Amino acid sequence: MYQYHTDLYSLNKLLYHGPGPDFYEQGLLRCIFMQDENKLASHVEDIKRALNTDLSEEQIKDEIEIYTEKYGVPLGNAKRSIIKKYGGDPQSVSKGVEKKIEDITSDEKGLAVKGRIVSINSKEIEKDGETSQMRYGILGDDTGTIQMNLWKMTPELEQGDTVKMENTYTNEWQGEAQLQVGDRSTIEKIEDDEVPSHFNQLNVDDIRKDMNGVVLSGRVMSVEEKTFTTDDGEEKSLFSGILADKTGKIQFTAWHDFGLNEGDVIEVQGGYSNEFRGMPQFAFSDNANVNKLPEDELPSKEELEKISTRVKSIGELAERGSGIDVAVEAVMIDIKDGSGLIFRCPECKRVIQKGACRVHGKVEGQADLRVKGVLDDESGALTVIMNRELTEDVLGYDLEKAMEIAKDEMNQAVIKDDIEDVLMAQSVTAKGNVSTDDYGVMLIANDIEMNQVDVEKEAEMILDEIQEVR
Amino acid sequence: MTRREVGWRLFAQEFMDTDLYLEGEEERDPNYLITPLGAKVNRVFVVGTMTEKENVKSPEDPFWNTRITDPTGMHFVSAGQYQPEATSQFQQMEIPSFAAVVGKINVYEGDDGDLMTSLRAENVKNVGENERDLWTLKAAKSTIRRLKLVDKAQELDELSKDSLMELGFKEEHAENFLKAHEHYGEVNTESYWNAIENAVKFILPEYESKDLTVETGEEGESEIEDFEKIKSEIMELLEEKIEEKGASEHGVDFNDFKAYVTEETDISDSEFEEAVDDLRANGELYEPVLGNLNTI
Repeated sequence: MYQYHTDLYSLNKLLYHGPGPDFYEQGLLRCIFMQDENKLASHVEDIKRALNTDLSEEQIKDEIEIYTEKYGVPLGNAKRSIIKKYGGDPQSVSKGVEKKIEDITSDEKGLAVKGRIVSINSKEIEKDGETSQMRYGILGDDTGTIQMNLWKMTPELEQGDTVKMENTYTNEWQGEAQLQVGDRSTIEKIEDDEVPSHFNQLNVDDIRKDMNGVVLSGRVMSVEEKTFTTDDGEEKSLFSGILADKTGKIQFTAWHDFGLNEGDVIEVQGGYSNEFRGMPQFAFSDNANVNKLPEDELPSKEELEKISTRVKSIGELAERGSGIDVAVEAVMIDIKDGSGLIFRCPECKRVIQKGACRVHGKVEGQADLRVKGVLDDESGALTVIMNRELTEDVLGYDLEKAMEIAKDEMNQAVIKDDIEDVLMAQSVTAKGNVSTDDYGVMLIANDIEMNQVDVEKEAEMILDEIQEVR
Repeated sequence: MTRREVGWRLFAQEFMDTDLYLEGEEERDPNYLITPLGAKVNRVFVVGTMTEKENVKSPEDPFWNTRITDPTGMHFVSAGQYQPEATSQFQQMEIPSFAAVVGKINVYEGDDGDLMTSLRAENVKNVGENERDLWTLKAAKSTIRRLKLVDKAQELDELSKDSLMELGFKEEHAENFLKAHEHYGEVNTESYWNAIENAVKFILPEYESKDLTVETGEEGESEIEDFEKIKSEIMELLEEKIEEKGASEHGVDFNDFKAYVTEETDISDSEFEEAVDDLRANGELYEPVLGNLNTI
């Protein structure tokens, strides 16, 4: 109950005030590289092993960059191509080796891995017109976590089990390696102590609602103390704010004073998650273990801000169901009714129809401007909500002017027409918070910009890619 | 929560080649088409040139049939009383003009019993050349993503969901491609690669009408001139033929016209086809009905 109040408070604050002014500075690329540096190193090693040449790590790195950056070739393919180019056997990469999770890449075959089941669920899938069951979840070891799909239903597994899986493979799912455990793979339960106990280290974007025993590290982006009164009339404090790592941001609540300060890098062992307004949030109480980690465990606060607003695919966001301060790049393919000049009930802020609120009856409506649109990037689609300020920016005139125009035209709908003129069928970058409810995935925008694309350069790149393939 | 269907950036070529229709079981279930490359499509987003529009009902109760051309072919797009916004947009739009269309898939049986695909417009808007170029690039990328996977898949000895996913297919695409493969058999991806390459070149000024001369060095100049001559000769003959036949609405039959041109001139079959492709890509002529040619 208390939690509800505090969550509502901080979420509202975030939704309506948005992130600070230093938010959208440039420098994204550098961050991307920083994040991938470690992963890249393991690929470089793989290639070196497969080639057995005196090619330097620097040269291999450069090669990888040419393939992945310039031609947009997926990393797995790039590795194979490079190995082939220098006379190695592409098959020799990751042939039946056992790997730690952080070393797993998105193009493994015959892979063996040991880990602990962090979460596991099953779902129905349709296959050749027949429904069957599959399982999915997260596997963790002391180096990290990986998403997994199990295409077989045996043996039975539950959270906390330690397993050894052999002859698995991986592919890329939304930029990350995903472990596939197929018919030909084996799953064996093993002794608990074979996997270190601080196993279930999750990333922020792995957090779903209703998880337990979570280990999460992140930087405290903001924290605020709040007091509340319990049912017994006792005054208590809680601490809530935003925690971030390289994969995203999440709202947190600490039910105990751990002495958290803005900017701290912390590791929480034994946290849990719940859901509020379609977004998962992270919580921990006094039975959790909270350690401060060295400052350089994570990029700086400013860099994390930039990383979090890297463009994400709508499909990825929809699958995850939420995101704080994220960006999407998509085309506005619909402007819905209820966009443009609207009137709200002064009591409850609901939009009124024909001068009447459906709760408070006949009221003097307060004028407002908004856009309810649909953004689609072909990987997914979501409803985007733009408030008055953003709508005014897009229209190029303010609410007063909009009312004047509507009055002159004797038609409220002309404002929606103007919005359609500017936004419909346009490619935009929208930033804000994503949540999911019964009506689907929604982005409350705090910024929206028209995309400028150098079409000729893009066209050249695509032609290069075509030539490469053919 | 129901998932909103995405708007596929689908070139006309892939859409026209599609005739695998999955009808929803319940009345409210969505219907889908599965393309030869394994895209499972309920909604399409296309930006092209509106080359034709016709109100086939009445001014009071309009029903528009329109054609939207992209560099690979033509989309048939309609709107009637259940699409009031699209209908009033179509009313105002000029021919030719760049149009962005969001539409739901629709199928009907052609005269010969074949399944024909079209779009029922939800939203329509006039846009600029830049939006058209952007769309063409997105559609190219989207198609290339599928083509690369299909090329790899067609080299497999045994197709299964597992083997496809090992190649990098996502789960859903793997399932859809298996259905596509069962229905269409082996896909000739070469023609898709060619069409995409031409579509993308079309955006670059240096490639305009030089398809024949990409790597020919010194001889290039004269080949461009020859190609231009062939094209203008074909256009002249086409205009004559259309006038002669009074066929300004439906155009003339492609094969008859090809036979006529190759008979009357030095233009060879392949030169004719190459020139017509180029003229079509540049929007100078189009197919009012499949297999017919008309000037714009």
